[in-house]
Amino acid sequence: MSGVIVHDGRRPGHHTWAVGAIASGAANGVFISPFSTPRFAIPRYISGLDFARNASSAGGETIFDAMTHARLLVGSNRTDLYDTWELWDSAGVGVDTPLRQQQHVEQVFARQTELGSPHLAPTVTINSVSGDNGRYSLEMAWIARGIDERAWQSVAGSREFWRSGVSLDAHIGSLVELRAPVWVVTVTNELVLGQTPDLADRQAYEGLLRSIHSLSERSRVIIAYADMSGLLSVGAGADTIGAGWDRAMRTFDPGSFHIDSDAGIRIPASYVTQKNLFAVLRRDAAEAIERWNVSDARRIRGRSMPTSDQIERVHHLASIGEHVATLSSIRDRAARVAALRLQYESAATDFDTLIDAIGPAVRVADKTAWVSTQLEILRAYASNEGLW
Amino acid sequence: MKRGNVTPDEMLQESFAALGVQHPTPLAQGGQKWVFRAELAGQPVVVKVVALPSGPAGLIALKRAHREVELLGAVDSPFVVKVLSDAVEIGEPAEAIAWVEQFLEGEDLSAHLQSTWTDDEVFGLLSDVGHALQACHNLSVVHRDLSPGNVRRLPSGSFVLMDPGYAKHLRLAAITGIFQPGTPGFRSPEHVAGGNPSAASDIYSLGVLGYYGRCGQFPIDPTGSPVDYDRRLLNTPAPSLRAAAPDADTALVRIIDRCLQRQPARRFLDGSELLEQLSAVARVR
Repeated sequence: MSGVIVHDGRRPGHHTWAVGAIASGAANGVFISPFSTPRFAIPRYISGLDFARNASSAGGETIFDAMTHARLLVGSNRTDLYDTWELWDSAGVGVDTPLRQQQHVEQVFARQTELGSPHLAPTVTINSVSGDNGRYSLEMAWIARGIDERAWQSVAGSREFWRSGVSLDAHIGSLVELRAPVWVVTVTNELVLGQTPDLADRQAYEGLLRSIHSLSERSRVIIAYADMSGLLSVGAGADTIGAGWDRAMRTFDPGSFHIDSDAGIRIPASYVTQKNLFAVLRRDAAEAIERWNVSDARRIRGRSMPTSDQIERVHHLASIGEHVATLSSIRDRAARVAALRLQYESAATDFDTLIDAIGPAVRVADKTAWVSTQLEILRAYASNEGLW
Repeated sequence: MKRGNVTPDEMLQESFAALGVQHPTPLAQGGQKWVFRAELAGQPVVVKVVALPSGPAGLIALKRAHREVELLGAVDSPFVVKVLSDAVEIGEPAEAIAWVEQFLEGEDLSAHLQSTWTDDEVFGLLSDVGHALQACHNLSVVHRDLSPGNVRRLPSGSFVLMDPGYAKHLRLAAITGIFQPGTPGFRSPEHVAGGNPSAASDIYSLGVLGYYGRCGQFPIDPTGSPVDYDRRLLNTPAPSLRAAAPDADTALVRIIDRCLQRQPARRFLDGSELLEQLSAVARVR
């Protein structure tokens, strides 16, 4: 299975929307997070098992991600739902001893078995390959493989990790030895403020793409918490994107695991996905594009103007899914990169036209955030691989 | 020079007696290690004797020698030299350690790399040493010093892997270390200090052997300062064999080039993967 997996969320209606997205064909499955869904039903929340059953009945895949890489972040304390899953045993919370690691992996696998989810090994956020977490991540991965040889594996790292060059390559080399059938890859942010992708650290994202390229030579790769910008990873060999409608679904937002966080307004406006700009713009910008040229607006958007946020949610996932399907159907790496490059260049041209025609409703900053930076990263990765 | 209570000659004689070998004749000596040809139950064998320095270095040498013998004893392959005895400690406390290995005719690869090889010869090297590495890697053992001095070419034309003195179990040792084994020219990027040689590192070194055999050049130039060599290993992609040997077999070029990928994840991960590819092009023997 490939396409779009919907990340979990705590908003009322989330579970219904996610299952609806699967039923409509806009999504291929759901991630269940212990931070967002309780193990047992409590007021306002269905149980993880019911969520998994509903997703399965709609024809979707369910992946329970234990989110250990979020739980062990400094300041991670939004554990009201998390604790219902009892993911830690007598040795306590932490992965600094073999016993803790083993108990945690066993508990996570047990919960996944309950839900009918594949065994996805927990991991920790790596900042430095030579640091403790670099070692713990490998140790836990091997424990998981020892328990279930076909277990899916995770790698989660900060930008520092993804930009660590030769050390990163060596670490990925060690991970590949696990021969996991599926990798779930996450770029963990230290801080998230805006609604647009933050890909300013070009070197880190080039390292991410290089690593996905390596992992995808033997395995499926799911790029988690990536949303529209995850298409870069698909260009490098991933086949599935973790996406959603809220900021904490579209990017790894550490504030969403912290009850005292004040990360500012999380939904500052209504938005409309512009499929062929690879962008999500404010609804007032979308309306300005519509007024400028109805037929071009529809071409750029990919379908008719969503008349509600519910329709926009489905439109958003479907837009990403269609891009993933197009790219994934191209097996040759150079041809896949060329196709994505062509699409980004076309989007850049559309952005230029819109900036000239209706600026400042559409701005150069929008083009930079959604297309130009991505194109630079794609060029850097593909040039080094001899694919440009 | 007298070591402790015994001379080297007494130590060697004691070793031969303890191992039950006869008619020893010297083959080589390097540092604190002696290699003899001898007879065991009428069969030709090789005797190795390692003198142990005093202090912590002696303990390390003792452990390494035991490890070499234990690993050789665990690996069962016609492409890996066989160990025929346990490692015997000579003296009390131990001043030397000695063991017996299978005697192999032929010469190590150093003697064969003066001229370039044919595609068939390189395929043969990849296949035979690939089998040897498969046997080691299946036991999670990494050789870590695959180089011309550690591969013997028999008169039959087949190749046998020797001297896993720096071999280690992958997950029974520290993740990283300052000292790294390996022979200049045949080291992988993971051999650079701070790295962690893995099964894929053995594949890289085998790729260097094949590359050198086919074209008489190193893919990554080992000359100059060690720091510069390390930098090149880490940062420079190996050139394709095609550039150095334009007439080389296309399948061979692809296999060597993949062995020499700078990123371990892009190589054959171990001997089994290499053999699968050789099998796919009907080059396993």
